Amino acid sequence: MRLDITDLEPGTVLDADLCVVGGGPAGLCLGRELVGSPLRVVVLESGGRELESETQQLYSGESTGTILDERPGYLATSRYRLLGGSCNFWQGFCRPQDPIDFEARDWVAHSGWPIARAVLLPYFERAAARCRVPGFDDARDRAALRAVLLGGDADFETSFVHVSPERRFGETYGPQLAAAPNVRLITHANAVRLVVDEAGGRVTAVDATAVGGRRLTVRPRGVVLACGGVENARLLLASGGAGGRGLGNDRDLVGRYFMEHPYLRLGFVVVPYWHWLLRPYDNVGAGGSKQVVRAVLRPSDALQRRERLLNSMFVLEQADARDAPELAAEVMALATEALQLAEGHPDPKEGFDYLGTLDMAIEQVPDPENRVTLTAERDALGMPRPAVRWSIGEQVTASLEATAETFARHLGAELRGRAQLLTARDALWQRARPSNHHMGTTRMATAPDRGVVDTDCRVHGMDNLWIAGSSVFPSSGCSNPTLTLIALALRLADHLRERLA
Amino acid sequence: MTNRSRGVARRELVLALAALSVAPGLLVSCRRRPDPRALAAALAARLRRDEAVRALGRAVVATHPEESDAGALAARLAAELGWTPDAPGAELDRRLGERVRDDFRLGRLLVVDSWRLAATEARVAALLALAAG
Repeated sequence: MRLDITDLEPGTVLDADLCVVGGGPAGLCLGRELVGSPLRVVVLESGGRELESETQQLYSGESTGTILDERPGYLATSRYRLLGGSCNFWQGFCRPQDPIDFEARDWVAHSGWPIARAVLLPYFERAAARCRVPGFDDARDRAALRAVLLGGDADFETSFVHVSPERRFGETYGPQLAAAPNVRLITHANAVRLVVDEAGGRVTAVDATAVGGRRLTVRPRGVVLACGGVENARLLLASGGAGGRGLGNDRDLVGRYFMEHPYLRLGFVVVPYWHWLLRPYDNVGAGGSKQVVRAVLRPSDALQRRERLLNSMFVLEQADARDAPELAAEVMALATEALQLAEGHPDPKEGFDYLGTLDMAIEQVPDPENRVTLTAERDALGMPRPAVRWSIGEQVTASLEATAETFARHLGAELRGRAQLLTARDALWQRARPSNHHMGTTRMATAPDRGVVDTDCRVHGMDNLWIAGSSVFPSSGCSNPTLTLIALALRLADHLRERLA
Repeated sequence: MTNRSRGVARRELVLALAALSVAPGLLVSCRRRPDPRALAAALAARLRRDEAVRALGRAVVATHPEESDAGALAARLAAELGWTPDAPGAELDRRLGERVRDDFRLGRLLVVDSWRLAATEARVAALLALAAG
């Protein structure tokens, strides 16, 4: 059933087995998994079908840090409050976290997931189906690519991002939830507070309010917060709990370890071919369906271990000739001469004829000082507005530089091109932008002194409160988080189906 | 000196002489500095895009003034490439190609306007630019 909060009588109280707060990709995919189950599910979505200014303004807050100092509107513009959530403006990039992302690496403080990647593998496949992309098999995709930039290179590997055609999760899964007799999808219902029992270990109610003031209370047996990497922390912090510290926050960890993916133009490359590498291309998938695939380059796990680097990926795209930097044509000529000499002039037409942009997304070191907090200012619903601080530390900068320099050397040594690296420190991060990936603020850890949720995504110290979304990521890797957060939501759905049965 | 160490010293001497005998270009380069114009002409003859390479060479010289002495550049390149005026062009090609790859492998780079270039290719470009005046 689909309802709007204004359809309900003021002060309505709904009983449910599970209340899912948030109708973005995590909440909708989790709810979809529970369609037809014996569980009575309520999904609360803040927005409606379209973006609405008053609702979107609830996201406003303060933002500071390396990149965010220049982006005061970051919190209001990096996420979207409507059915389907921020995926409505998603580019559709799907790629699982890499194996090394799950490892505790001694050169990356606070790294490592408490669950093995193997645990998530079946859920990656299920998440891929939800996103309507094929399963992930780099060997298969490399074979289909026909050419790779650093083919035989052990230090850099071509990997693949599959572009999901499924970006309007609200339009796809909203009607499925609405048609399910055991699910109530309620729009314009902003969760503003989680009410807990006297002992503080159990959520007894979720209070929701419309921008116009209509109120609703859900009394569920279990609650899942699925409202994004900032809002999950904000709602926990704003819900009081023992001593007013916030739910699940006995150890002052809620909101800490905020991570993003800085994305920046490193410079340019001249390469011998671009069609199969630099542009997204159509790959014929199962059943003859066309699948858009994008090749990327990343430092191999072996190189990361050897040089103690952070995970990262290079994105190469054909450059607009009007943006060509100084000396590009001359470097193309020089590099072509070197190639011709090295290969004994096999083909005078073969050369470095293509100019590409060289962009990079890089992993962040989990840092407790990067965090979401609450400010004294309140939004239209009376909730404290959030503040996010995100600073990019020296290790990220050094790793970026080292990875880029190694890549430039490999391009030359493998006769694959030349790179221009605009890595001067004074201007480096001025060219970066955030990817709008909010991660880490309710990180997963086995022990409550290391994280906010356990390996089942249940908030430590709370009997019936779980979290879905990228806020549980202990490490960010370099992949877009959407596929992984959907995988985690599907896993959580399996867990809740048993737990609440 | 023991018999054993005397044997090692003799063997090293023989190996060193043998190495010199297969590297006549190196001997030549040690004896006298090569004519920069001759090396530049030999390099230009191997290249198809020499105008563009010269243009890049001017940027190399402007960015790295220490690479603006044509005589020193020629001597260095001749030594590193084992070049002699009578060396076959194909051999120069091979050595140049290998040297450029090795430069990248070993991190011997010159940065010109943020482009990462092999030191050898950048010096070749600089020499061509300087030789052209």
